[in-house]
Amino acid sequence: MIRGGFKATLCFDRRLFSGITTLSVIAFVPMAIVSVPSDLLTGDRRGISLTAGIVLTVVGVFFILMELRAPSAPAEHAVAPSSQLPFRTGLIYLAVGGGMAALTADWFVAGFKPATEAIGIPTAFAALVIIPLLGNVAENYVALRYAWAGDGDGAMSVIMHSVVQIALLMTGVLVIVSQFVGRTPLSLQLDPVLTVSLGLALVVLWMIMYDGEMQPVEAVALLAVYVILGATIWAEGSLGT
Amino acid sequence: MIRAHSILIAGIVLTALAGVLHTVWSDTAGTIAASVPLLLVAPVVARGTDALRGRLSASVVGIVQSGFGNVAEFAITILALRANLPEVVKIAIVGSLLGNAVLLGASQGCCR
Repeated sequence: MIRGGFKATLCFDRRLFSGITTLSVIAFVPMAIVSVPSDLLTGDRRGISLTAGIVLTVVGVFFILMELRAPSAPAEHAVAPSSQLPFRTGLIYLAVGGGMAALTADWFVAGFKPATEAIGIPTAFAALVIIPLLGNVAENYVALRYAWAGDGDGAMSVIMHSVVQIALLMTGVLVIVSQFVGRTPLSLQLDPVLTVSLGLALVVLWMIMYDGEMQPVEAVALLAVYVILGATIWAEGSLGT
Repeated sequence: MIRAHSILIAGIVLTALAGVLHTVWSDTAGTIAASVPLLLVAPVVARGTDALRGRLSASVVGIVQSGFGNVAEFAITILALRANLPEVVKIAIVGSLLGNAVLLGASQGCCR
């Protein structure tokens, strides 16, 4: 085990993740259907988006129930916590963490557009990169800890569960909630650049998961793709508002 | 005692500070100041879920971990919907999927 460099291939048991990886690609299908330019589909596609949102939520709930019934999760043999807190203290940490997230998210959103303009960051770039980085830092932190400790199964489990939960549950629930919150219901119709980027990224992820290993050159190439997309959105991205 | 809970204390203090800046100064200052405690949600939640191991089944711990892991992002997107920013929400969803699938996968490959 060589740590801290481009010297080792991250290996994991692909059999553990074949189902969940395929599910992440399937979750993309409704978004692709709604987003693809078509003469067949007319209107603003919000009705189709709501139907897709409900279906995604139902599949997401089914996925959670199946996970609860599973005898063991792949990540359970992962990194041992360095200094485990008592159970009650852990609950306090979770409650405080949830409260911090709710409060700071409110303040973060309140001045989001003026803040990006004041700093000079395109709003589309901030939405694509900065919000997900802030929002997903917990999973990133945990998964990187697993990867650093050499637990490829644990790391991939965190990634794939997060991808599927966002693609199914979070997307579906947001579409449903948007019917009651805000003035504009959320549509799943994405810009073609985002649709193609997302579709290709999920297919590439599926191929890597099917392979059962991630070589350093694949990792660097994936990172390059993300940088190119981010740079494109930075230079040319616009929310059209 | 204080050192053992330094992350929790820092998170509470910085959240309070962001709240003061948001209320007293401006929304822009509140947004910038709120970014730091948003980042601290991760280690606070991670320590909390670590404490559940052994008392709850691995599946439940995994779901709690993923659920609380996404709580900051879910809160941001719901509030962005309320602020009538649906395009920001759509791009943020794509960014989350890409970020997890591409950036995180790549980072893992790099850090091994």
